[in-house]
Amino acid sequence: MMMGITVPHLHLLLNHIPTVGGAAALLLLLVAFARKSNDLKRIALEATYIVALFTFPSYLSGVGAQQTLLKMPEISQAFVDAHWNAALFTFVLMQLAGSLAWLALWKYRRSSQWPTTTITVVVVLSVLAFAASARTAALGGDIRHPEILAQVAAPGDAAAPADAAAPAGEAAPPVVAGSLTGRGLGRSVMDRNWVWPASEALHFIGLWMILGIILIVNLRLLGFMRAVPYSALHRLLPWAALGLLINVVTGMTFVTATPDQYGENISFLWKIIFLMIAGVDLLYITVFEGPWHVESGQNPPLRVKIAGATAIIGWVGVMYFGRMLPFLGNAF
Amino acid sequence: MQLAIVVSTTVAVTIAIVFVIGYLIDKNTEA
Repeated sequence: MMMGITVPHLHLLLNHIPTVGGAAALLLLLVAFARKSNDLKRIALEATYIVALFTFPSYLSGVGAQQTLLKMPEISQAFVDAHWNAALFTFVLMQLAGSLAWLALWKYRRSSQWPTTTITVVVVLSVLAFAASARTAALGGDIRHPEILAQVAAPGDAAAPADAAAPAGEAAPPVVAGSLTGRGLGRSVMDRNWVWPASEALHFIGLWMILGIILIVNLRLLGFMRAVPYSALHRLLPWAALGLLINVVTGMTFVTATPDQYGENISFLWKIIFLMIAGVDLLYITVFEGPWHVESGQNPPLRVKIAGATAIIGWVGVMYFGRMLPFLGNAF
Repeated sequence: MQLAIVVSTTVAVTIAIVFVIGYLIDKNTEA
């Protein structure tokens, strides 16, 4: 708990980002196509990226809220699991849409031409992600709605605690434990002794891909290596993005396998806060005019230097609080 | 021993896939 805000509070606040934000970004994308506006396309793709980025705290606060809710006897695990499975599916779709939106923006920054196929795939993924997030929201609402239950349950009705969690007119969904569910994936990670060490090794390789590129690119933005124009270093950014992709997949493997180690871990909370800062900064140094116009021999303006410093601090923060998970937090 | 082989193979294959993707992105970008 931080300043009176619990993790379930945070989740109820942040879960609007993928649902409402995703719908807004999709609408912008469709309007951009209808109006054939390059500026609108850019804004819509930026919005898609930002929504995907902030889907992280939305999803992960759900992992934390789950830890709290499952301690309550009146909460049905079946409803929590159904919501979790839908959320995981939505999260994957959102991240794919966000990654490709970033790639389209990076390419457009370099060539001023839109990669048509990439953007079409972003639109398709955004439509699917919107549908998936609407379903996730509906299933989340099913977990606990005392105001609905109060209207349905007759006074003196002796319902079993598990049944009490069921919303009006609905039976509790069966506990799904297939391999493509949150709990099923988690179990298959823990059942195979090679998955965790392989993911751990890849997580570190992803880390040096991100930090290596981010350090070179942002040292230039801080005013080092002035002979090199920023546009030359900008070309390296997809390698950092690929490193980030490795780390999202492997990191989510850890969280899915052992949600109890991350859900209420203060170090993990800070890691995600720094990830959001670094993620927003990545968008700035990818598409905005300031960094792009840092030419050979030029000392970057102050706002660009601030962005460069923010990126380095942000990624070091992500790394530091990741390493501190067992020491400041309660992991392992 | 078996664990080391499976882990190393998984890591090597993943890195190979990532570098092929990186190469393809780079190749499709102007010089």
